Amino acid sequence: MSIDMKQFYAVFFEEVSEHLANMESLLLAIDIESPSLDDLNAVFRAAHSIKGGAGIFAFDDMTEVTHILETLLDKLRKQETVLTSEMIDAFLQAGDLLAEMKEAHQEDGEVDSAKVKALCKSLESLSAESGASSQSAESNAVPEIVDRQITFLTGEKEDIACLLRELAEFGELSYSSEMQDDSKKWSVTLTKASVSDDELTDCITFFTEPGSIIITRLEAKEETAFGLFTEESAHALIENDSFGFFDELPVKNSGAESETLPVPHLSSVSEAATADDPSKETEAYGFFSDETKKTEIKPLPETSLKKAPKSTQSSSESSSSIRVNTEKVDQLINQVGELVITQAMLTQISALLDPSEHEILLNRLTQLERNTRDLQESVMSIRMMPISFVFARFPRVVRDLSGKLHKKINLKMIGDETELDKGLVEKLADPLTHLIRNSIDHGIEMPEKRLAEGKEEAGTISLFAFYQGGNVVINVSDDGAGLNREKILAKAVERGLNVSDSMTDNEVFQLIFSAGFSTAEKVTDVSGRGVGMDVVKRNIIEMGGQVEIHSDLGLGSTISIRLPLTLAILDGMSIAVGDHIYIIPLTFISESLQPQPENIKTINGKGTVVKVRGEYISLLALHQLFNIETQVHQPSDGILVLLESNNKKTALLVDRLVGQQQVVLKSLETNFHAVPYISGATIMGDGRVALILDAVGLISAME
Amino acid sequence: MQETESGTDTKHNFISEMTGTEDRGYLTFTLGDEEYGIDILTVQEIRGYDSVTSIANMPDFIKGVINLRGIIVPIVDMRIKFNLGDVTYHEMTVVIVLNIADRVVGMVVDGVSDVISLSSEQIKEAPEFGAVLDTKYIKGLGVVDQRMLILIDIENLMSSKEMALVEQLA
Repeated sequence: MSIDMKQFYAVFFEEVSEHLANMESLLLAIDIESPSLDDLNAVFRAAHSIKGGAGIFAFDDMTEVTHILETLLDKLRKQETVLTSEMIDAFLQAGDLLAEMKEAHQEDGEVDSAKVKALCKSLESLSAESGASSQSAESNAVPEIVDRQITFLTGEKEDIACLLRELAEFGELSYSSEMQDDSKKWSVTLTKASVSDDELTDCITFFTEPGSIIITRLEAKEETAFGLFTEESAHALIENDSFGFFDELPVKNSGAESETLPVPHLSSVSEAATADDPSKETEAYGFFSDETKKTEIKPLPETSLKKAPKSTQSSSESSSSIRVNTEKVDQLINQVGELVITQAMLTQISALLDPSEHEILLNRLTQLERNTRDLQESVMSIRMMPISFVFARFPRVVRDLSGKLHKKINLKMIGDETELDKGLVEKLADPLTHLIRNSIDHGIEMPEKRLAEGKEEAGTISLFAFYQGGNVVINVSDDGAGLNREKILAKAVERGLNVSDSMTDNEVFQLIFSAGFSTAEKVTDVSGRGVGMDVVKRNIIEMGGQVEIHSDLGLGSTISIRLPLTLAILDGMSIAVGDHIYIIPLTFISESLQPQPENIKTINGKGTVVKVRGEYISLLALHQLFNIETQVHQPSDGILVLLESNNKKTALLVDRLVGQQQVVLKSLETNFHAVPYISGATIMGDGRVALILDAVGLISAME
Repeated sequence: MQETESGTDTKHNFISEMTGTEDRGYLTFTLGDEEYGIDILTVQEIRGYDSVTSIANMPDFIKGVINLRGIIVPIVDMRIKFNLGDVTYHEMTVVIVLNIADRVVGMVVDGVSDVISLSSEQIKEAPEFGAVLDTKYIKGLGVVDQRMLILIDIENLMSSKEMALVEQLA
């Protein structure tokens, strides 16, 4: 049993994450001046769904926070109060807190209860403030002030206290004398309430059975009681409460909703709903005079119309994607990879056949090749994710940081639908966050300074992702101060780095990627410690990518990250040593050359160096390192591949270059263990395994 | 004499407890003149020895890696490891592909014989051997008709330090 619950936990946690992410992006997108009601509703729904789920699994802390959150949100969406930026802040904090709670439940951790209390308090106080302000704004917000009597037909009082508290927020509440336990029927009178009937029913049905209440308008002349929109409000309830666990509900819901659309149907549905409670039938049903029916029913189609598209949209979204274990996808990719190799082998063999004799076979083989290629492409695309998964977090980062540093910053994101491998998307988050923090802290100037320089007060940071060849390029640009070449050079000299004034701008800018390098005059808690840029570069290089910097002093800078489309494929140069074929990742090769004997120098006890355009580079013979028998012993007989990483170079002696190709990267560690100087393996066209050299390891092998 | 018998008896019981009373299937293979058995459930498949890519600076019994339907699988030659049999590679050289604890590894043996079923009564405790295979990797001796099988605890053996197949934690 407990195992069963655990399964649902996982679904719940995943849903919570989704709802929180959704909530955050909505909150960040909201225009504080004129918030869209749809957005507020969406935020409310997200909070409400979390609350519902948390309630089911008895995560009381989450229920509590979401409840308070919801109360405030509810006021906002009912336009009882005005959205302020403090509220957004509080909402975002609540989102963070909920994420923490979720993690705590997931990993049996604990959440700082003081934090929870502080947040609840701030939310409550915002809620209270808003209550006060809403009363002053009451007159123009909701003009209708009506007195009502609310009669409860059930004796269940579990939630009544909460309900009464909620009701008290609408207006003055007084208990009627009929409140007796034995009759199971009691009523309260709500006066000076500035709510519409819909909102009131919404609120009440939240706490109690929809069919168990009657709201009566207490008007001066006549007492027009109106039947409850039981069915409709039940929809609202169901819609809010559908956590996605129970697929049937929304379906049933939408079906029923469409049924209520035509006006005449409503009464029949309402009748059906009321019919199961005979006591109510007599009391409530008789009130449907023609006139009242019209007035009551009017708002219905409107609301159902408004809701209907949303529910269809969400259901179409849920049906358009499925969750699949990544292992299964990887297995599929492996199998297709195998198919491609088999197909390549067939093609190889078929090349020996006489084309005129075997024309049909050869034709079919060509067709097979095309089909396999298509299949491989489709399968690879399964692992692809839009980069928006990483980008989505940045509005928050920018908002929080710019607030903290009192800078004004707009964030532009272009091309967030660009897709790349899931593994890459996940690994990109940290480096990109770092670059953005850097741009905010160092790039964008303070508003006063910007104005003084004739720039717009608000700086702009743009994230731009696009495809270029077989790569994805992500540019992080700001229109800030730009990199100061002189300052970097001075700092480099100070740190004893080997620099000269003749270095190109790009070379100078690359210096900021050295470990511990920072030109910030003072260290802030945001950045400036010089830790980070080197990590950024290392991370990107580990992903098989490159980092470039373009900068104009005073105009801003752009950092370009160039990544392969997928982690699983890399551009490699295959090289031969003896009978062995190895792959070197192309990103690390700066050039290949055939050295002249006079350029090879042996340094006693320190090995061999090769002179390349006046620079001495240490030489590493692969056959010696790997103990491979080969005919090539003299560097001048073979080929030198210059490997470069982190401004360090090594010349690798190989027998010959075989060719350049894209290879599918496989881990050796899945079934074996890490091997020195080998970063992985790949399968060649003939089905054999070729090992991929670890260029970084080889370069540092010389030290 | 009496003592030894009772001693074997307790050991025997111990083994039957370990292996359960039901019959178990064993894949038998030869290395040199000896016949070995491994739990059939650890065997994924049997294939020929083909296109192995060697890895530099590895112990000589680690022949390298092969591509097994897109998976990179290391190959160990038990004949080299245990100094048994003729170490030649030809079309008839057999690789037993094992799947142990979600790791796939291939081992080269002289030949695969058959799959037999052994009841716990047929499994005797192994006496102290020479140094070829440490007793801790031997589950016992299986006796079928005139044959004697050395039953290997293949899971322990393959994850042992001496096989150098798994990264050892310091």
